[in-house]
Amino acid sequence: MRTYTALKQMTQFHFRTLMRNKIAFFFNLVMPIIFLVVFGMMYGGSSSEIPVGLVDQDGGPTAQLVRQALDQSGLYKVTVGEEADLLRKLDMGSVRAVVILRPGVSETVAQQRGPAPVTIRWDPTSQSSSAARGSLEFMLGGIEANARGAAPLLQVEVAELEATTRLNIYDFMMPGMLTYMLLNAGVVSVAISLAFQRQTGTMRHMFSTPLSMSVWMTGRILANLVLSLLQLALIWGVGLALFEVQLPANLVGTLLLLFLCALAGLGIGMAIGTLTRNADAAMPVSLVISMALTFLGNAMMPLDGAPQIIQSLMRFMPSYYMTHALQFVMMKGQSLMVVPVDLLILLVTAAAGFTLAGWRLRKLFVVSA
Amino acid sequence: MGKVMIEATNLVKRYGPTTAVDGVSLTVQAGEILGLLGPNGAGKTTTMEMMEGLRAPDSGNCRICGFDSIRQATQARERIGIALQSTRMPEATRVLELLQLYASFYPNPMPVGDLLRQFDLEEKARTNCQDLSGGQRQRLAIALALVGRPEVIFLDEPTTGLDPQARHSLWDVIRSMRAEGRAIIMSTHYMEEAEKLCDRVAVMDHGRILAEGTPRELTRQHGPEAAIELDLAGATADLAELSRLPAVTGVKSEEGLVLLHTANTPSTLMGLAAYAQERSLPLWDLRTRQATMEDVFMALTGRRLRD
Repeated sequence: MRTYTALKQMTQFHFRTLMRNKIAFFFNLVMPIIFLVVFGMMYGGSSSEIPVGLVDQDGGPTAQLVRQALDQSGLYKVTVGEEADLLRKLDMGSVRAVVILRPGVSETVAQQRGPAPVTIRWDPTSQSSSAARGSLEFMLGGIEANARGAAPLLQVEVAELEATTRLNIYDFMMPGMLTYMLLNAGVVSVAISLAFQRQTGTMRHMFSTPLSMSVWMTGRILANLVLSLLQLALIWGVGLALFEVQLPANLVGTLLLLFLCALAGLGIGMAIGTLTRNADAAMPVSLVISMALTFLGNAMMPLDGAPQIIQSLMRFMPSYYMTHALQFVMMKGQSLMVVPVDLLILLVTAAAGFTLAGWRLRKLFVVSA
Repeated sequence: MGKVMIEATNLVKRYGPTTAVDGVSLTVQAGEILGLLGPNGAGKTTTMEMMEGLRAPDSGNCRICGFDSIRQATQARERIGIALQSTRMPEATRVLELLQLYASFYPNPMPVGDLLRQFDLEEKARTNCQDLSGGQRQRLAIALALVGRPEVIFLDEPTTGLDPQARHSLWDVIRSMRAEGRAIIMSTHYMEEAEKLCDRVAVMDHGRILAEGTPRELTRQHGPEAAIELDLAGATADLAELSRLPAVTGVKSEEGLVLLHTANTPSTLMGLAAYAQERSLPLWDLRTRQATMEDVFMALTGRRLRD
């Protein structure tokens, strides 16, 4: 009972600290909403050198022309294959869009029966796919005009992946926004507040009482999990009210994933907060790491066109796996089992952060003979 | 004799080549206030932190209510209350919330409402800790130290930075804790505080205890009978000649004031009057007083204990 009361009090204490810190409150809850509204109004994007799929069911000269145009543009890495296989790859994110040429395209063109239909399938849950769709649409729609200065050769139709047709453009911003919010709550707020409490002696004072490290740590974790729930509710509340977004397709999976993402962010924040010298050092370190995680995590903008070094760095960002997993589970309603690598990386990040922070805190505050 | 609540034995703490605490041994009984008196850097805080179990000694040990402060830290910490030196209160936390938080750490805490009343903080219960005045903050710090009904209380320079009124008000609080039978150990560099508040005083310098006893015992054993302070209004006096005046046991000159320690005040005063007349020295201001802890400290270390 005593442990429960202490845990409850500790959780409330940490949560209040998070909510009453004006800077933390702004970054955790207000700024993401501003981002959501601004990005929602001026959404757009572009990219280059994008992996795309080509389904050639026509096999005629027009199909050859399309393939040549894709290859020669230097913008795309083209994989030719079967429709089902390429759509699966699109769903998994290994190609960003699929161009489908149905039988009879060349015949329609040869008989001059108007523009022949070509379909682009894309995944609106991925910002990179959105960018790929835009550039393909522009290029394919202009093939004939470029060649002869005449009417377009092809009529481009776009179609989303079936699993995402219920969603609108604002839904697709949700994973990135949520990743941003969770990173701020964990990395920036916790790191600075922890370093400040260390620096001012408030933690030392607390640990001069019978308070145990495990109760302190668990209270810290629970407070951030509560905040993550609030963040989810807030971002969805605003999304529902203003942009008619859909509820998460897999709610239970989304909640579990949300907690795991919050734990990973918290682990990073606690490691920074305990390893940096003081609050003055923790602030820039946490801000830089948080920005790197946000912008290199594929959360806020497509990075397919970024230099190779950026592409490589992305793979080291836990936020990349956060965004990826949220796209699948939250947007597409898939099971957590579909993203085992993402879950493992987030779990390892959280465990590593907590281990480092725990080691450092014990060194600072647990006295042994 | 009361029950011994704190028993420190030969505590030593070194930082590289510096020995911060050098073989300190102390006991404090229930219902007693022991003052650690010394200048900044004397080793008071380090000594107290080792007793509290917040810092491991290089050698020696401390038992709190019979429990080793390091090896049996949990049992010891349930029995102590600590007001650390210049502890900042957590940001964005209200007085009531902080007391409730700390109360949750102890098996049998005091009712938070009682503490608010006792420390005159009822009206501030919903005030952010950062918005309290210095005196209110110190009262809150002591309330936090008391919330677990401790038998032993550590106060590290509890009145530093307070105005005289707040300081005297806090003294009353500390006296009431003593009256409840708690053992209190407090560090201070205010000699008046040591004299008026503490039952016993341990004078520390350079990590060692130079003398220990009641303020009266210390002044009797280590201080002069009395002291005479002279203001010569800028004139210079030969300290060697002053030291040869009747019954003078020590002479010190600082900031325009001359301090004579004497074993016989009338005899020294008569000699001083004759000396001043011969040399036309203005005795701008002349005061006699009983020896204080300041004089004890000067007698023990050869220098003043500055506020």
